[in-house]
Amino acid sequence: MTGANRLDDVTAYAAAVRAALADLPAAARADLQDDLESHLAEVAAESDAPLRERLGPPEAYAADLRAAYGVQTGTKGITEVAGGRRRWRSPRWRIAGAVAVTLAAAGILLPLVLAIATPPAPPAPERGDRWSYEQLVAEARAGHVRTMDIVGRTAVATDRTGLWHDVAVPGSTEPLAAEMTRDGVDTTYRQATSAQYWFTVLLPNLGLLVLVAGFGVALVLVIRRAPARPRAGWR
Amino acid sequence: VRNGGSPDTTQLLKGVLDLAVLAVLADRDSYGYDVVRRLRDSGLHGVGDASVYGTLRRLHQAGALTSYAVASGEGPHRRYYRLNEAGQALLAETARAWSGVTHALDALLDGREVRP
Repeated sequence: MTGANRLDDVTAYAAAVRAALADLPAAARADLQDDLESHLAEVAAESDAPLRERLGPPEAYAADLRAAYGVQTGTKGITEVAGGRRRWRSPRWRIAGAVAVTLAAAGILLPLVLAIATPPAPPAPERGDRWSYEQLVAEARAGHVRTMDIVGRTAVATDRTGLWHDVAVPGSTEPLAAEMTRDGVDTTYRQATSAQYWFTVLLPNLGLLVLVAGFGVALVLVIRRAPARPRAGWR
Repeated sequence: VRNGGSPDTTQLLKGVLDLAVLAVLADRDSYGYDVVRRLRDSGLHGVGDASVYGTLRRLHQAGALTSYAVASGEGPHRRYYRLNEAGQALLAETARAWSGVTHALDALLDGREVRP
């Protein structure tokens, strides 16, 4: 076979193999065809016989390529070991790792910095015994109660000595608040479900929520964009 | 797997082609057709060209091999494959698994007529 004929033979055979691989995902196809032509040229250079005679029909050649590339030919776990190592080394996973580490560090450091920057709170008042509603009313009338904090169905009273008391509140807390105010008690009254209540509860955790949500979104993006890897089942 | 070789050998080879290719590359770097030739020279006549080439590409994609191009006298560049650290670990692991299987099979076949 002359050089020109041989080149034609390689080109035609390679084209037929490519056509038989056309249905593969783009990444796998590109990888398999990477140096197919130069490889076929090596085979062709060995003998004068046309490639079809030496390698069989291009469709069968392509089928063997798929089988060797896509289907695990070794022990199952072994190819996965190599694939797993590679996956965690790819730039995409490195970026994801860096983002995760940064977020984790921020999540740990931020509360720490805030805790240091915030001046220490005054010592908490001591806890006294629990009051029934009648007790509370009696104490309030006697002028022993300094403040009253009612949030939804729970209430805390602080007496003149600085002790605070859990109070069993009646079903309706609004009349209670009114009566306390009448008795000269400094009363704060909030509905448990008010927007302000949720805001004060959620605000300290808002930063954390944003961090977690951002990390989740980044993770999903990384996973969805990960390129196709050779796996079993393309036949 | 094509190009001659009894059907039985061909089936057996499919399972150990990874190991064979890794072992060939452990000796020295090679390009695709050189790997085919060296496998056949070592007595594995049943290995098919496409199977070896596909195996090389898969091992490369899996990170067990690195590759580099070398200009050849005539025609296109040759792509050489080199066993990297992950490949060496994979070879050691696969060789261990293989030797376990052969020991078990040897024990099974021991003393039987089927043994050559």
